[in-house]
Amino acid sequence: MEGVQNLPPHLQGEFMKTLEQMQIKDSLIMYNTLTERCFATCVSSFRSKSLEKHETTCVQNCAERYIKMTQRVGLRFAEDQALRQKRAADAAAAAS
Amino acid sequence: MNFFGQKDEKPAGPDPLFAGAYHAGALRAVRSFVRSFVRSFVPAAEMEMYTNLFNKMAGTCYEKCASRKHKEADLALGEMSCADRCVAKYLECHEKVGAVLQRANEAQARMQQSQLEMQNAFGAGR
Repeated sequence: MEGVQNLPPHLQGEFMKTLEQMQIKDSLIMYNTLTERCFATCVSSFRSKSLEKHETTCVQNCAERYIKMTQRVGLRFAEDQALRQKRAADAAAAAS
Repeated sequence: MNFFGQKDEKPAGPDPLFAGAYHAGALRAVRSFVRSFVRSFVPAAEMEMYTNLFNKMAGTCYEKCASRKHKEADLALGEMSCADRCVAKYLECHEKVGAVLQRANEAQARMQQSQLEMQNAFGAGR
């Protein structure tokens, strides 16, 4: 995210607003994708109009596991990014 | 300041486009739940979310309920009642997933808050 610091201050504010909008949109997309995924996996009978007990449990577990998975993936991704940045900075320092 | 850090806006009115397609009661429940989940959406983002929800729901219920034999143009009675139940179950599922997401977000917000407090306390102690 070094590019953000390179922007002038008035554009930085706008960028942050755009970023926030993107995050909102992305979280809504995630919500819908998660619902679709968990419904497809967990619900297979249509005898009644409401979810059965085991289906409710399955859906809740599915959602929680997905969130935890996303968090873990984000953590490892951030670590990888930090490592890459460090390597790039070291290479730049060695070259100069 | 709401969950997404935006000013509270008046919620959008009922959407005429999908009024016929949804079971009205279930949609009202989901709408009120969604509004409590995120205090105020940008109306366009909310609209897009409902469009997305509808498209995914239609696709999923088609996959679950409609036979692939395609012998006739009309839906069979069983397929129609399956579709009704599918919609009801899908909206209930949507609600449950929203509740789980809300709890996770609240937990994360609490964690960030406590981290911030710890940082401030450490900074003040120096």
